[in-house]
Amino acid sequence: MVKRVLPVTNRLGIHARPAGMIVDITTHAKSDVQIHYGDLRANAKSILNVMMLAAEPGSEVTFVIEGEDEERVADELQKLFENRFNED
Amino acid sequence: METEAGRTRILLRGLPVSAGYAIGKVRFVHRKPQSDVVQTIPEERVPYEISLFEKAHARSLREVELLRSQMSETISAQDASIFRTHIQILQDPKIAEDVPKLILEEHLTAASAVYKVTHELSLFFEKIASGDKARDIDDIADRLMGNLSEETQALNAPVLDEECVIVAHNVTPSLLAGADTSKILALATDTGGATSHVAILARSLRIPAVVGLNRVSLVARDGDTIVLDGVEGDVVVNPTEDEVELYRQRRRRWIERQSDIVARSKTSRPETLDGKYVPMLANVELPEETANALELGAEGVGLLRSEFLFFRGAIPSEEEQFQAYRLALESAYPNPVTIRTVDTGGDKLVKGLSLSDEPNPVMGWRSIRVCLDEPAMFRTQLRALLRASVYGRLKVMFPMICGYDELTRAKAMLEEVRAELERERIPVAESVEVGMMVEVPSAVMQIKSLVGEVDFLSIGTNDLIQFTLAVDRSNEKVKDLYRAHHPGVLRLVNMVCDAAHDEGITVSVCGEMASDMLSMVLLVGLGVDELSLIPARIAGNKAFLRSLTYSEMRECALECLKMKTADEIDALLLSRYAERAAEFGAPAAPRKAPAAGADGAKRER
Repeated sequence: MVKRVLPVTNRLGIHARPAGMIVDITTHAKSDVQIHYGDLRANAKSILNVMMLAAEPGSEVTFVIEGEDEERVADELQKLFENRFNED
Repeated sequence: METEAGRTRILLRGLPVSAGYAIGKVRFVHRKPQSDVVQTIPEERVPYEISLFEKAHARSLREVELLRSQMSETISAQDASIFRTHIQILQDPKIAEDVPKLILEEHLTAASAVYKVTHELSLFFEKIASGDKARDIDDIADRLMGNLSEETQALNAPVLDEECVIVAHNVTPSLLAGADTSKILALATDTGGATSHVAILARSLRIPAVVGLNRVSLVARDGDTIVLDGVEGDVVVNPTEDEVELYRQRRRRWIERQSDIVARSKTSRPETLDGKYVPMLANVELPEETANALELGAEGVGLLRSEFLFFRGAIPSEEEQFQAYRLALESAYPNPVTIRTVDTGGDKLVKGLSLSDEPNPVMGWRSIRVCLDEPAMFRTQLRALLRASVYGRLKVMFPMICGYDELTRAKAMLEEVRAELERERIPVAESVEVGMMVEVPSAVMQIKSLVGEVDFLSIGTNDLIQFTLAVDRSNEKVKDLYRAHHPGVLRLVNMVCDAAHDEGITVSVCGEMASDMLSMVLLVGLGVDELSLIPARIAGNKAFLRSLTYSEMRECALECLKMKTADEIDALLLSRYAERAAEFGAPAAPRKAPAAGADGAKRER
């Protein structure tokens, strides 16, 4: 199991487009991927779930990934967050 | 204050989000009434309602997919991502799985189940931060509902038989995309902000729009006169005569300025001051766009991407393909239409023709490689193409050719299919020009042995640049290394032109470089004979070309060929042509990496 805490640094937070980019990664993953935000927890393979968290800029989300490609998925997600969802 | 007709004049101020002026009649667009009565069904109807939902769901996905491909020509990649999001939401388990579950467990009708699921989501999103998310859900719900019911299906896009100003509480992206946008003079909505989907789309489609008017949908009635000022944000319902006159003048001046260039494009020849003629054709995604491209001054279609047919789900039948190609050929006649055989793969996945899990899809099983490996599919396309050839001037083009054997194999199949049709006594045009895309460096390196095999070449600059420079443009870390004006790229283009001209055949460019004005100087200067561009860029590029001489472009290109870095080349082009290009509407962007458009848009992930 891999746990990855990622800061939300893009300007608009996790709105529809970033959520879509996250789901692009998670739905192609063989691993199970959960996203935690505050007390909320959701299946990160559902764009609606991810959108419903409405993670705000300046906050943090935690991914909990379990499965054969967990490391790769965690790295891809981290890269996506670091690149601020290509927003700039 | 009252106007003659007795209707009250109402002035509203909102947020101008797309510039321009409009005077017209109000066309009020309702959201379709949703069935908020929860209806239950006897158990034996459950499978029927589930299959109804599945059909509506599949149809909705196809529609959004089609809208996305239609819109990708007219709007930027960033804006087109709206449709991508819609597809992801439709595919979300919360919709794709929860709706059938509700039907099964609670014996609801498909419509009630869709309502229940989407209404809860919509309420949720309305509560948190952005209203845009709620609108996305509403839009998707509308589409699903529309597809669920035969009667409301026709309402999916409003039928606009005369010009009008659309007034609505909010306008969903797909409503705009599905309607005949040429009839829409302007948009006025109660809700929305500067970055709302509607605003972005209105700007891309060049329709003036004012949003955030709060109550325009309550005060304006169908048929009311309305003036809209997309510069200041004023909207007047039932204006006085003086106001109408004032806005007419403003509108006239605005349109004169904007349309001058386009108007000239239709009647003017793409010719330099010293008489060099450089035909400008259009890149189109759908055959239906052909007529519009000619209106904008295109002299035919330089690239019809046949993939559009393949994105609709199943591999299209020969008849379906034939009808589509015929439509394009007939609309363009007597101008030529170059149809590229299916270019799947890379980032363009088609069910049954793509591997979903390739480690390096751009260099994987794609394009002509798929065609040669799947001869039955390829032959079907070639048959449809040759059958359509008698309806216009068809040119067939093979993509992603890496070398001689691929080209000759593809050509041999075309000849076999021709012989087969002749045996069946199906008419085929006597001359169908055959060409290839030049987009892989190996093809350039052996271009001398390829030119003898084809009637024309078309350089696909997007792939050629990415393969030559080994840069994946969607990778943030390296995307700045993607330089269209890299000396290596210019030399390759130069080699292609020289070899083609020695053989007496023409070279066209259909990548996004052809749409960029400064790149166009280089391309024409290097000897490119023909350009194929995004329809919206034809007018501006044509006007720009007409302000130049071929000799200065040639001189500039030869100077650039001697330079050692892309920076030097950019600097020269900018100092010499940036100002003039801006006069003709070139986007005033720094030239480090040309703006994505056309092909480039699709490469974004």
